[in-house]
Amino acid sequence: MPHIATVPPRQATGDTAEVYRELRRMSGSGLVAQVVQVFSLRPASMRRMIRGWELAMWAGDEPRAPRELVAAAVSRLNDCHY
Amino acid sequence: MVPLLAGQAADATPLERALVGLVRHAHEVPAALAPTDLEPLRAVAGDGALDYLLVLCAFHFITRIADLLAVPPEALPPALRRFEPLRRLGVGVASILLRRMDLAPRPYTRSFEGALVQLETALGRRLGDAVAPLRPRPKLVEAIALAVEERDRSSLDRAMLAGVHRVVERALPCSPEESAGFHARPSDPIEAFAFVGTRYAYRTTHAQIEALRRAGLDDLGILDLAVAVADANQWARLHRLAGLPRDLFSLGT
Repeated sequence: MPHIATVPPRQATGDTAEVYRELRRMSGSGLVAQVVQVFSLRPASMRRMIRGWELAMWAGDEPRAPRELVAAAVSRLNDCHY
Repeated sequence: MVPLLAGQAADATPLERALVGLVRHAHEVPAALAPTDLEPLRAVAGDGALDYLLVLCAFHFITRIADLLAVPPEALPPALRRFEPLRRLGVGVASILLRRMDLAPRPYTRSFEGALVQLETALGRRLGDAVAPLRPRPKLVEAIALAVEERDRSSLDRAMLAGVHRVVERALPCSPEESAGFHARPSDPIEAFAFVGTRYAYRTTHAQIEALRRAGLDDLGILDLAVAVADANQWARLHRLAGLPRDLFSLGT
């Protein structure tokens, strides 16, 4: 359980629910990552997280696999539990 | 992953070696990074080095948010991964979910000038050539604009944000030993949170969060503090490696 309160997709209304729909459109799946949900106290912050993730992992011509390598290596060296 | 990080993967490509070398360097000695550290990657990826730089910085942000706020893992918790059948099941479920996602690269259609207007509007001033090194990849300019906009909607006041930025800057490791060892943390709960979040965010404790609450922060304040720490850490690497002015984002100069 996160250290702070969150608004899960099923309980979201208004702008928060709209941001969750934007995330599903962006990722092309129904998966709502927990690391996005943790921003749900402020929809604008959640929207920034999603756009930042899209810029890093989708935008541009570089292939996905080396991007995933960088992401995994940073996570591993930081001992990130997530 | 482990052999690659240890430099022991015999079949690694030049791109993989350059990527892992940069990631390791940016983890061990972020305080000493310079634009020349990006050159080995530029030699094999050209301007694509900036794309990978953005991934590197984004994951210094995301991993800190996850650890500082104890975001639950999408897959099995680490304790359960020790059981091989459960671990295999978790990997299988994760691969099914990932296959349903659209992971293909997408064109970035905004111009450098368009992204620059967003950043200048967020900052309220003209920038001249300050972000010229990012001209080949304007999406990095947009990413900085997003961070500035996030900083400015924070519930924390500017003095507190400046203090957080200063603590992060001082806590950045200058050596591999500093990036791994235990160190005396500041006694102030907000400074301690920023220090641990910079050196080893995975060591953040529930007691630290309770100390923040006693210091007057509510859930939104704790979220904004974690964002401030995470953003300062990604900015510390981005501005050094891309050759950008530090005060473009940092308040604690």
